[in-house]
Amino acid sequence: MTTEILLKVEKLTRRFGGLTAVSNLSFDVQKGEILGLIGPNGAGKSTTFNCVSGFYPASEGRIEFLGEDISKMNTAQVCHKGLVRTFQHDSLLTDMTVYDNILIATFSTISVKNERVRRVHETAEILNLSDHLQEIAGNLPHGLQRMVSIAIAFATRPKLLCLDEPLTGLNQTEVGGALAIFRRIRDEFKLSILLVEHNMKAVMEICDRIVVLDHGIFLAAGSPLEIKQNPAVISAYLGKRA
Amino acid sequence: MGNARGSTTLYVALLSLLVLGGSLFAGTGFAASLVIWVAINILLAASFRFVQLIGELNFAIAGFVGVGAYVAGVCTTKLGLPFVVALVSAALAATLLSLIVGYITLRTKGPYFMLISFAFTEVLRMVYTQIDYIGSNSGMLGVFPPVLLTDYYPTFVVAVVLLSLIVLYKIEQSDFGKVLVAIRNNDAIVQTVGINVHLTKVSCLAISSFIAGICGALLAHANNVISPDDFSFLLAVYTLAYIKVGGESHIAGPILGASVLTLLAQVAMGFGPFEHIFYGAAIVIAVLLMPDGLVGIIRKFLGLPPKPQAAAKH
Repeated sequence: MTTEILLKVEKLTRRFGGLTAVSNLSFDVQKGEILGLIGPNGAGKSTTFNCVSGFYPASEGRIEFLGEDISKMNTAQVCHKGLVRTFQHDSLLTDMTVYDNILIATFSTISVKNERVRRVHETAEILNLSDHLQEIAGNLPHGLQRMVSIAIAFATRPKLLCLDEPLTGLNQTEVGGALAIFRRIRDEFKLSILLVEHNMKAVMEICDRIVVLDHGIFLAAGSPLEIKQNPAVISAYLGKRA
Repeated sequence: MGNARGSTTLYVALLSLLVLGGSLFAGTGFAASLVIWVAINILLAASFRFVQLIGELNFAIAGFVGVGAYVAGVCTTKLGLPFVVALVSAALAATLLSLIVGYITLRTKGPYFMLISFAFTEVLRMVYTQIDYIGSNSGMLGVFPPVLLTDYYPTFVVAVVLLSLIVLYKIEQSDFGKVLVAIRNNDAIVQTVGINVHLTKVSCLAISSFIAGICGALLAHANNVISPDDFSFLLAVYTLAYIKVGGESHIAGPILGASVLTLLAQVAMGFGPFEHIFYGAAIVIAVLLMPDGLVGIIRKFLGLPPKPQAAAKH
């Protein structure tokens, strides 16, 4: 694999008043990889996510996407550069049909109507939503709602897809299905995925590399195997095996 | 699906022709005035509802109607310009002002935007009373439609209203219209997929205000007088009543609500000072007993599922 750097986070710091949620964090995402961002609750994963996707400005530090500084850009601008995120909560348009949910995502990135329609159907097919296009998204079971929220982000065909706990509340089968989809879109569309997730088994299974945070500070980075054996990670997060 | 849509279009076209033809017989008396009021109130309600698509209650609508009325009045009575020029100028003036106001205020939402828009309307009303050129407190007199249109003014108004309703409906059905509804539903998501939410909201207000400006011009030339008090926040409250009674989930709501209430209001005129209670009561009854107004009742009657949208979220 070529090691072309897609996203480069350098010395990112974000404070909320007296609280430093993320401190001096550096990591990068390479082209074509699935990078896991893990850590205990309150470790600063979501804040990092919000800074990278343009939701919060960084207090300090630099965020580079394809060599361009995006730390001052807003979410919409970041999207046009090719970086799109999903949300942990309120992650879809509950009052609208699945079709319209995905259509909204094509609005600013595609100008031709027919192309938009084709993109909606292609996206729905990949995320196994083709049979639900005319249903109101808020009425779908939880597992499908998760897929809709990923479909919204993926419909823009980003270069880097940032997923905020996409597997929460899914059952074993659904997790398997979701992981297969992640691999498929990575391979077919040559995109990279930044994954924040608590399901350790899934993270270890799908990620190429993992970055571990604890209390807003970088703890470790490496392959799943290295992370599993890292003593600092074990004591802070994974816990000792009895 | 295509067939059903085709036949709906046919029905709407036939109904429009019928209304248009009927308005030819309105004459120039009270019936004519009534036709004009109903038509303008329908368009006002449709304009108000258009901003509800992004989830905002736009009380500034009364202000924009006022701007439209005054600009049109100045054009025809002071400057001697043709009526059509006055109509277009009114719409453009309201649009331009709304772009500026919207750009500044639409960063707020919900109760905050509602209060600012309310204040905007009242400030504009006070500004009118201070300008002598437009008659200050006593307003402007002698705002007449062109001689050529005198006998057909109700038909002209109905035609403009129908055309505007079709345009509003087409925009709502377009992908842009869906983006507006998506902003009401969850603006954070709309932002993440690359849409400039703020500018989209400003455009929505501008389109609505273009229509409000037209309403103002039509109203001024129907009443023949313009008075600052015609454009107080009460105008916006009445408009809200039309929508609450008619229903918000479909453009038919403003049409039904404005028709029913404007006609009933002619009875309420006899109540004297209690007239305003009529609109308040209408809002209360509609909100308590008819979720989604008359449209909701019709949906139930036809066995259609209720639409899960259109309620402004506050």
